[in-house]
Amino acid sequence: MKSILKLEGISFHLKKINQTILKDITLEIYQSEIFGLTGESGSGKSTLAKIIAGLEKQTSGKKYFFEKEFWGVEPEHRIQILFQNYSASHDPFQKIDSAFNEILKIKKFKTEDLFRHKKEILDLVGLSDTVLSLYPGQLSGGQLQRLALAKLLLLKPPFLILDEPFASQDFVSIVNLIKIFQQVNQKLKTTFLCISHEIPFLMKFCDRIGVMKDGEIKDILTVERKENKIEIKDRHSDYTNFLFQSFGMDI
Amino acid sequence: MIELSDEILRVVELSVSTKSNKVILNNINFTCKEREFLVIIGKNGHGKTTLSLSVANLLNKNVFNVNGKIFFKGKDILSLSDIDLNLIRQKNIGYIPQNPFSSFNPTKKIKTQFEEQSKLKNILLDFYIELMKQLELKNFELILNKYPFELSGGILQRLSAVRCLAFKPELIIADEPTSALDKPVSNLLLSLFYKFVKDEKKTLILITQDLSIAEKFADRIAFLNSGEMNVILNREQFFASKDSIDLKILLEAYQQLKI
Repeated sequence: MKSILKLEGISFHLKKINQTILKDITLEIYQSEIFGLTGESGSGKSTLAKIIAGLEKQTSGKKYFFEKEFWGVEPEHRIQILFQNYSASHDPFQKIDSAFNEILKIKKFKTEDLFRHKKEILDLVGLSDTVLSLYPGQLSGGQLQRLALAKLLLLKPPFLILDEPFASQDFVSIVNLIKIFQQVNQKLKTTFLCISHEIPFLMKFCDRIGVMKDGEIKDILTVERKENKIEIKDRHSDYTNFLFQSFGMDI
Repeated sequence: MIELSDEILRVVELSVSTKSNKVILNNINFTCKEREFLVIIGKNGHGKTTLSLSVANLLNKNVFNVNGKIFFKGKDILSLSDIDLNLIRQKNIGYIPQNPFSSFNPTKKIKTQFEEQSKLKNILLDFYIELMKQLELKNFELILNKYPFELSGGILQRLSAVRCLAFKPELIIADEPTSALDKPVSNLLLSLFYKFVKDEKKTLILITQDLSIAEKFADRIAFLNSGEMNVILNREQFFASKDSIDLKILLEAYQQLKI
């Protein structure tokens, strides 16, 4: 398995309140893998995601993408992030088609390929191409989230961070979303880092799950999925056990 | 009028629409008894929050048309005067809003806000602290001396539950009270609610999307779909229900996501 993202000794310290948010995190994520990240609120999950995306700068430590070191934002914008507050990633006064075109300017497409490409991505996230002529306000919450995902996928980034994608979604939408993530993963070979509290959902589609507590990654668990049976066989800490038990699971 | 010894709330033919005639709730009927844990389930945008707001009579009358009757212990709270309504709200009905950030006064410290309430309702401040400890807010002194915007959503959500539980209202309406909490803390809060309902003989209406909460705690579950509430059943019956197609789809999705 080839590494796509490697973190070496990442620490994050807030001077103002003298608090260490992340302590010496070392993590390797492999190509076209789905990696889940879970843990209690305030354990530093989102901060870690922000550091990977370059929205925060680590106090110490190194980041590697395709075995090349980078600082801050990945220079070719190959790491993208789907924010929890997805509705804020749309301009309410811009038609969706025009927003798509703006993104696609970065990659120089032939005009005749343009529509085909947009349709391909919209198909992937389960939206019809009629949304192109609409404004974001005309879509529902679930559709807006999938639209935000489509916008990210237009440039086919090899690495995608999902920040709490299941928050405030109903079960029908969640089943749908998981299917979409799996499809994108298979078709575009996108690597996912998915942050969520909801361990049962992560177990449905993640290859590995990292458990964070107090700014450290306590355990990395490999999820084994065989014919309707999902198992975790790794050795793990008491905290991980406690967390899984709160969902009524014994591992 | 309607006076049953253990009936707390009766909603009769409640309909809510906007001034531009968009129907949000259509002919809702249900009752709630003392010591009942009622969970209202529904998908995004199907009127859950509107229902909870109208039961507490908090909807803006300039924006919404509200028709029907809501009896709280025999009194129709939709036709009460503002003074009587405020008395009921102060003593008998507690409301935990969905958005924890906008439910506190941003210009006052948490401690001041709790003190104001405790004076008004004759509660000791220690009781608030006791509840905070039960919800894993162990550094309570630090939290009490902060302004709401200095605290995280998870902490504020717990505080707004504490604020409501402290004055022991007869009816609590909680709108997604665990949306910003992680599972262990969410379980703690829900157990606290459960104890409150069963030991103190109170009533709770909890609004959520999370069927696992309903499966664990609810006495009865109502399914709200496109503004209508056709299914309201006991817990066991609800999970085997085949009455509504939308409910069937939701239950199937829930079973798929279960481990």
